[in-house]
Amino acid sequence: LKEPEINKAIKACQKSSNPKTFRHVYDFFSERVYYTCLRYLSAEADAQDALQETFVTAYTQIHKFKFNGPFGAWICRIAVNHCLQMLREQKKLIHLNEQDPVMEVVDEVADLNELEMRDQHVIQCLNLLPDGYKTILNLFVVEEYSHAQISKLLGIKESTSRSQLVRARKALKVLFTETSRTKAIVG
Amino acid sequence: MKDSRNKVDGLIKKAHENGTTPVPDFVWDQIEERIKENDDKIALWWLPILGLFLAVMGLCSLPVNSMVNPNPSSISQNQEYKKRKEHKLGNDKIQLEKRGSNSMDDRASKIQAETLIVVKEREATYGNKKNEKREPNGSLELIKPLSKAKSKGKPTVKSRLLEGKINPKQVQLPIKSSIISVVSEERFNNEKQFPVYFPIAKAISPSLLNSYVLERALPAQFERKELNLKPNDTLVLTPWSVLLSSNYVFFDLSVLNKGFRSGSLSNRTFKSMGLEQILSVNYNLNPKMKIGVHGALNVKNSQFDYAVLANSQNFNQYKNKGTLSIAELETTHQEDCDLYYIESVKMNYSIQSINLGLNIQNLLLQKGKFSLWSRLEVSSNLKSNMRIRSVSGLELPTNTKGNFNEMGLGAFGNLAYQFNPNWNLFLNGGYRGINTFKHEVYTKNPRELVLGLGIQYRITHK
Repeated sequence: LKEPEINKAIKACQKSSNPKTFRHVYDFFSERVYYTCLRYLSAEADAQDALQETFVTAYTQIHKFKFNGPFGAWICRIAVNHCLQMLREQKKLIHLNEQDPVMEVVDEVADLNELEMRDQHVIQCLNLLPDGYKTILNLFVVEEYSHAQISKLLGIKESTSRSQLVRARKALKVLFTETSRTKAIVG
Repeated sequence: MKDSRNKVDGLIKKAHENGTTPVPDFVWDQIEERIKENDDKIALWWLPILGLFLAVMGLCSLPVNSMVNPNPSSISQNQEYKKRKEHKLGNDKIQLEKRGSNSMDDRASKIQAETLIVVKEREATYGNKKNEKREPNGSLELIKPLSKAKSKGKPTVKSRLLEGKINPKQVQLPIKSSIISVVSEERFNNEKQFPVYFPIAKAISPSLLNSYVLERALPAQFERKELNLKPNDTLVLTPWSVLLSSNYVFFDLSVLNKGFRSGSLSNRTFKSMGLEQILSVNYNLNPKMKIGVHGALNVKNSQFDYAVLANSQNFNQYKNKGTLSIAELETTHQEDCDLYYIESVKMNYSIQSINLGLNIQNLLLQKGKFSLWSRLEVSSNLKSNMRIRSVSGLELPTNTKGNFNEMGLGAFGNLAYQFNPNWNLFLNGGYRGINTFKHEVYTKNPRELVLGLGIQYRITHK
């Protein structure tokens, strides 16, 4: 189905609950939403759970969607909230309020312009980051949330959000440098 | 520094741009199952609300629904029952609606302290002609005429009404619970003709609320002595009763419709039984009909055995009781039958549910203190689950729970014996059809034979 038809399906679902019609909506958005879940949750099983919760929530709350923006963005926000909820339950966001000594000792970071970074390489490095850093980068850079919004979502101070973002970027650069060096040696 | 920051952010954005990942097929199956469960729950949302509505509707009428039971021995003393309804306003405030001007408020303040005894004429509400003047032994008697309630000097509500200074619609006379209802035999008979409509009318019209007189006949006649009533005592039956019953439930359980864990389908039923406790609050619409809201707790068990063709990891064929023959085994598994072995399995299920329902009861027959009632009920589960308590012969996890939704329709007969106006004991028997929704194990809808014993308490006061 194309986007106008999907919008029709969404409107039909808003009028009356119909799993068959909702299936079209699922087919259209599920891969994108699953990708979003995988950005936050490393384990596939967790991401599938979050995906399931997201679409069940979307099905029950679809009448609240007012077409003020794209449906994809709306459902991805639901997915992000579920992912954050799961991370909270798994207590993987605790270190956001703590110092991470590992990253402090590395001060020699290569100039990014000198590194040849492919998307796959970036994603690999992102996946190597602790969940807290990954979450901050996802929320700020990909979802484009402000620090105020992030602080509310994660229940942390705005200043913590800022400092964690700086540290996450730094950690990512360290990973870029290290993995590039390893590649160079191996290569 | 800023460049570096932008560079990192740019790399992340670029890496995730329009990212998609194929989703495993089973995720939709799980989602579909959950949204259908959700739809089922939504479909039954009205049931508890309806029950609550009925309960509230009945409760609202409780203070004024009182009656005097006509006892044969007292009939001789009182040739005609009298209808008296006293509205003693005492120091109560007579409230004026604030629709009027300020001067209306002034009037209200002036008359607040007045004491009146007002008899509210109700006959008009029934559509009868005016009937203000009655004989002293008639069905309506004024405790104190309105004209006598007029105090010296100060204008009363009555006088103001007569002078046209107050719009009658603006006067609300507080209705108090100090109402005594005595109904004439003639009128009682008239009212019996439309008892069903009265509760509805009462809910709509407060004036009818006062005038409604409930059914007044006891299921069985009792002598005054038997009830320890003095000659002038009256027994007031409220329309409310509470019923408690314990029933044995016999049913055929059908399980494993889609296989348990693994295995092929084999439709079988197993004789099973259980126990249910029912608590019902009933409201008598008339002497021959009552409606009720009931809650039920069901605890049922089912045990059955069957032969299973299994290998070390699972089983894939089973047969109800008996053993699988070698011929069957060779037919179904010609290639690898040596990998399988036959095992006798005993499974023990526990099925629990909490139900809420509505019922309607009709008096079919009455002979002395015995009465025969029919009862129709509709119920839906609030919570139900089916649990495997034990499995012998196979290594399967026990305590595996599965929730399911059900809806039941039942028809019953109750044979009751009335010990006294309050208590009766009854035997209960009937048949209940249950529809279970979307449960992979408990799929075939069971039909239950219900046999039990119960007691009912009718609320009365003297």
